[in-house]
Amino acid sequence: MSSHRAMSAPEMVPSSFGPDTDAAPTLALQRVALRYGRGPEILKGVDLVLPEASFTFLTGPSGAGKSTLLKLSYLALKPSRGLIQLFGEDVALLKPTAMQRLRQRIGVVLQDFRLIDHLTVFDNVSLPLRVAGRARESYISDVTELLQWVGLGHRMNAYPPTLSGGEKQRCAIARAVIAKPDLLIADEPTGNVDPEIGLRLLRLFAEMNRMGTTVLIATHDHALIQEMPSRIVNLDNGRLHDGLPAISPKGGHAF
Amino acid sequence: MSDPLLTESPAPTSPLPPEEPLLPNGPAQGRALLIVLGVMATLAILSLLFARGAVRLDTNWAAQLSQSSTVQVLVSNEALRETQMENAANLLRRAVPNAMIEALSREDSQALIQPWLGSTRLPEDLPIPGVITVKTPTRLPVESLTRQFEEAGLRVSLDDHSRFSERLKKTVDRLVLLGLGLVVLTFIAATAVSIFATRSGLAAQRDIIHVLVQAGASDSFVAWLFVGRAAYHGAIGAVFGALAALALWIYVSLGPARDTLGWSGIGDGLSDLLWVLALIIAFAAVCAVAAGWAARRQLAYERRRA
Repeated sequence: MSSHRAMSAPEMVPSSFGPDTDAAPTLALQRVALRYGRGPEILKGVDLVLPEASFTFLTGPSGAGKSTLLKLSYLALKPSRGLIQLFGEDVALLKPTAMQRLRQRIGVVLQDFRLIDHLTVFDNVSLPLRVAGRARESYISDVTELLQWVGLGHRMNAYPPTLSGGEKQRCAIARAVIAKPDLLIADEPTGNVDPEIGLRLLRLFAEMNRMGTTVLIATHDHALIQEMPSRIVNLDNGRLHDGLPAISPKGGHAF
Repeated sequence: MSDPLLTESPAPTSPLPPEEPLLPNGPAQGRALLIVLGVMATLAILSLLFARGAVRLDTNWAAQLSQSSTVQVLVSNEALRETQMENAANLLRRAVPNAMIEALSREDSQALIQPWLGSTRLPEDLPIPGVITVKTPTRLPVESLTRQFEEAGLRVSLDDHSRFSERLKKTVDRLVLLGLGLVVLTFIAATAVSIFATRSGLAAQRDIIHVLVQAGASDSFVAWLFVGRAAYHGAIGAVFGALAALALWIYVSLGPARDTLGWSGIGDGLSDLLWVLALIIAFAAVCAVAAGWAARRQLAYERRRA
């Protein structure tokens, strides 16, 4: 996996901080609203554009609807109203096969990890490649290298129930990035790891972003946001507010 | 890589274990399913084997019956028995030169009607019909013979067993239909069981399915996981069912129903075995197709609901 081999000296400046780019956006939400059943609207007419290769933090208080917004973004939910465009395609008009094709371009890190207990760490991480129909021999070295990079090289034959919370999180992140997705969506990706590992994972995201992946991270971790000069959008009471980059692109960063 | 953080993660020392199947094997559920499928396969295979046995019996009996006929000479007077029997036998010899003709004695003829008349002593002058058995390689020309007997002034009743053969064939046809109906019913039950097991599997593995779908798995990809599992369960269940059915079949064939199931040699056993093999394959295929259909339908339903 060339992207990981190139990580020894990362260039951490994000390529974009907002929607003001000429490239077609990776993700565009227009007046998107969502309610579960007959309950209140969780999201109330959200507009969000993620340009290609942008890096965005999504913040907001608990219960603001961050996870719901992410679910809409990675096609796990359909909006009650509004338009979602992913990679330039209106998802409401997509057939199942096209939806599947789009999902293969998205890496997702969920808060609850969603690791498969009867598969080893190696098999969990290689899942997207296996689903894509690649032969095991073709990705053994890539997966092994990535697992070493996230600090799980010695645990690749372990099963998720034997992993610590931090190890599970790194495993989930490795699974999300192994197929080099065009869009990476992470829900509290550093919530269970110590600051050093959290920093290291952020470097992984930044490196992927540098290689062209659009990154959207939902987090409460202000320390993490401070480490990465990026666009911040704040979700509060179902409405989205665009914020300023935590640190100016001209400023330094922690790496 | 020069990243100092890498030092905390030593290189893996143990080799990778073989790739696990994406769906876990639930031993308890799998066992119960295997038992149900095995019982159904046993019933299907027994039905098939009994249907085949009935067909063989029909074939054997029909062949034997078509080669033998019975001529009853309705003797007008006991004093003329010998003459009329001799005339009838001579006429048969002339009409069917290659036939084996045997005229039964009065005592043997009487013995044949004993079951209807009981053990009462019969009067000496009772005109008991004389019986002549005729064995021919081909069916007897009944109409032509009847005419010749009439012309010779002999009252006879000619029975080439064709009516009995037709009834036997009809009965056997119905038995075969019944057997095949049972096989079809068993296959329908296997289909329903496979659909139920697939739906249960989809519900039980919901989290795994979500992960797979999120990783870009198509409905077909997920459905194939269940197809493979159902085919495996179907095949294993059918093999166990076949072993049980064959054991029972062999016991019945060689024990209580010896000489009545139409076995005429090892060839019949081998041809039965081929049918059983075909049924095992069909059983596994039916389970697999049902699972694939159920999985795709359920996934489409879940997608519409999302």
